[in-house]
Amino acid sequence: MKRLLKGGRVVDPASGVDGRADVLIEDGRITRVEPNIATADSEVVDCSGRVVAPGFIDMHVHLREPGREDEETIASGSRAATAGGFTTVACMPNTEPPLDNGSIIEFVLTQARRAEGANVMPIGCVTKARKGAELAEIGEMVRAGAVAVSDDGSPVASPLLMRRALEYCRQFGIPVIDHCEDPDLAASGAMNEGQVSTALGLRGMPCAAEDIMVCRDIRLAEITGGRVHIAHVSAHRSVEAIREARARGVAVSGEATPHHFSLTEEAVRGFDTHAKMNPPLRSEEDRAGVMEGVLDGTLEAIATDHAPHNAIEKDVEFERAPFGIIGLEMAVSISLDRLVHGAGMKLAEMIRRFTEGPARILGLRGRGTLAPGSHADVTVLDPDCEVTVKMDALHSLSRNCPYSGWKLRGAPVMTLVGGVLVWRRD
Amino acid sequence: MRLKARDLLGIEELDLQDIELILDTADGFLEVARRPIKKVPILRGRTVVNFFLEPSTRTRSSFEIAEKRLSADSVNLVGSGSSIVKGETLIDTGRNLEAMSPDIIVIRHSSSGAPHLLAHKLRSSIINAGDGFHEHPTQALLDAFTIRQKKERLEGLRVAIVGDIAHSRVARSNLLLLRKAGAEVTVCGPPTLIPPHIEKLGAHVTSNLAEAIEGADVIMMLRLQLERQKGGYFPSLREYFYYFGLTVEHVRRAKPDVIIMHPGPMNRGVEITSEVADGPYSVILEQVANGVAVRMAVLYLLLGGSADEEAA
Amino acid sequence: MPSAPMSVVMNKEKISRTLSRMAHEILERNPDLADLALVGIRTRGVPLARRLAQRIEQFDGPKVPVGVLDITLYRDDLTAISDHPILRKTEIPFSVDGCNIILVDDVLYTGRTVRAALDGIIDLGRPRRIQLAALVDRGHRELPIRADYIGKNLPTSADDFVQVLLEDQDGVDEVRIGKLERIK
Repeated sequence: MKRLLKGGRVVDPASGVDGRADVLIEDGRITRVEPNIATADSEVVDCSGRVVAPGFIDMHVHLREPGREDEETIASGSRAATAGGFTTVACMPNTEPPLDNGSIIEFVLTQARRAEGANVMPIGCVTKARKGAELAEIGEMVRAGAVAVSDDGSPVASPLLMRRALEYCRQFGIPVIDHCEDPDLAASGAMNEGQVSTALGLRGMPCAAEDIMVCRDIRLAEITGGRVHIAHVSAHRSVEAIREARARGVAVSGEATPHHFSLTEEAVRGFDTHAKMNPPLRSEEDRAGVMEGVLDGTLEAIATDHAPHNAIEKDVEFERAPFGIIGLEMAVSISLDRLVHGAGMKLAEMIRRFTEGPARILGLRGRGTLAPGSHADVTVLDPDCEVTVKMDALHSLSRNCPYSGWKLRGAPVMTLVGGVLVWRRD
Repeated sequence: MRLKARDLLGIEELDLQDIELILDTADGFLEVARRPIKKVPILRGRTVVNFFLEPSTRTRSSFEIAEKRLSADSVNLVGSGSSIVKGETLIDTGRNLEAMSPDIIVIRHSSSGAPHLLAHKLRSSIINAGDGFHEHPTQALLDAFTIRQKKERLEGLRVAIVGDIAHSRVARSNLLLLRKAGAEVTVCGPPTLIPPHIEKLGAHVTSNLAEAIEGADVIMMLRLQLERQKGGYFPSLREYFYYFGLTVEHVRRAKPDVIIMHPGPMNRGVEITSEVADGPYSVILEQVANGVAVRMAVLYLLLGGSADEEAA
Repeated sequence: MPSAPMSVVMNKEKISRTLSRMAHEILERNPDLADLALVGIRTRGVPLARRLAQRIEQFDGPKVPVGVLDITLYRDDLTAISDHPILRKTEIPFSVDGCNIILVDDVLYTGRTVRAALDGIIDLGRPRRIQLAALVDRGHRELPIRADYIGKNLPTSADDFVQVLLEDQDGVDEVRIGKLERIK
């Protein structure tokens, strides 16, 4: 089965391609990327006026299965991913039970194969049951298919345990992904500590709760030679610390979420629980700092931290509401709108944050690029179309996000996973 | 004249005109308390639910007396007796209350923003009787009423608010109201109990009590929650009193006609000495009396809200 | 709102003479003046009550105490009006118990204001007797209420608008009548 993506502008930062070309797909792999490919026996997909990019990778999503299938399932989440332009997602292990052993990693992969949506790459727990006490069987999980480890939702609070995790993971070449938040400093906080928390009378989580632990992790990566990845960077000081460490050659990487570069703590006014997430929306200075980190490549990846929650649980007093918002189906549009159209970021650079960046961090071979021989995961974009975010059009089982009614410029229009056209914008 | 909003969620949502309307209206209600028959029929047949999910004696009884004096039927629903503790969500409880067609729901809740959630979901008018550390608008209104009664103005006055600013809805609402009315406000307390960026709400900030009180027209003392000591905000009550307890010596630094306020309940010997609390400058009991008139004014002004909708 | 033009039915002189006559009537019909008190209904009943008291004193009567009654809290139309009536103070600086009270209002129309005023007074105590004085009686009563002292009987239709202007508040003493403009 051959498929030819014809007439688009191919942007593949990993192989330095940016120009008019056709992409030929054979048996689930990319075989040729050249102008004017002529084949007689292939199905032609017209991509003129579109941008053809490597399949986007979201390295930070919560699919809620097993445990909270009312909020999301691997099937619904992987379909929401493709409808958002993603061909691969890495799912966090804070499920019920948590992904802390080989057999449950296999369960996730089995469910993902059945779903026939985006590729799902499981992330295992750092510690048994995410309790932060002793290391989980990381090797077994890697053998089963885990691409990284993380206790996301919680930090690895003990510096000693974090040190051991970084050391131990070196033998597998996988990163330890840390949710950086000093649990004492951030204790019982519901939003960013600052002017708005003072006005609303809500307990705050200071930026320092994050950046202190970012600095700790950087030092631990430095002394262990392990690879640390900082999830959802929200504070400008954290960006600065990562920038400085990378300049020194430390193996640290970071990701930014679309909400942290497009919204500030002001969104919490009125006690909107759809603006409640952890790390919280922060000040304008932090928002600008995170965006700067994305623009200059300090933060190599854009990830959604897609966190579905049941409406019943979000429709409560602000302090009682769970943290997190969904983002899979808006992230690419928000990024095109705010980064490319809003901040003058080169389209190729933005695409790099969704492709080469996360693929490098997770060590995914043959993904995040359109180089011949790669998996035929392709995201086709219309960078200029106007879209309005509509809640009833979402594929996710949950609706918890502050984006309803947002008008954005640019959107994904087609997603191919392994050469199969899995989603197309109506 | 009427209030612009159908709910009283906070001072934040009021403009100076609204505030003055409430205070002027309260003036008219003060006289009712001096009558032999302390009841007027204006809210006859109206139902008010006092939904108190946090212990409160004075605010609840103040609302209740205000409601009864206006001839409204009032129902009290308090924390331990309500279904919230049985796992029902706030919205469900609110909807159940609303099914009984109350005109106003007065809510006290330990979570900031809870009244806003109800206002968003219910048709009844909502009065915030204190939410978390956020706002306590009727307290600020009765404080402003008391100050106006004594000083005949708010504008240009120097007001010191002293104590646990961080965890005080009374401090926030008073700060907002006094700033809207053009008073100068200094907040004073140990730095651990001053919330970040409070100066952006228009307050001067100091941890020196003498400095805060110097030349003050009004001193508002806040109640210190004794459990804050366990939270590590200050080492001991003894030390707190040394730096932030209001004594007669302090009061001498203020204007000669200074008034001293406290929202109650007081911790004598912690934030205020008995000498000051019972002294000639203290207006603490007037605050309580004025509370009823101010709450009557708020209830009166919020009802009749259906008029416009019917006309539309 | 009344539409122009309005015609003047009482001028300053006429109002003055009318009030004098009413003061005389009050003196005549209340031989026991010791416990007489006037209570003006806000807003224009208040200056009228003061003027009546002044005249009673001039005509060799006693000094009659004057109180001010705000009937806002006794109105029966709280939800039927778009704008809330502003509550003002009721100021009655004497005990009404055992008093002979004359309520004073500018225009007597449906009787609902007087009904509210009666409730208001009775909540303050137990007067021995309550009478009613109005500068203008324009008819169209909706309640079984009549005035004891009437300045002028003014036949009107329901779409007429009667306006009493008094120097203390409006800078001029005049009673005017005009047509109500129908709101479409």
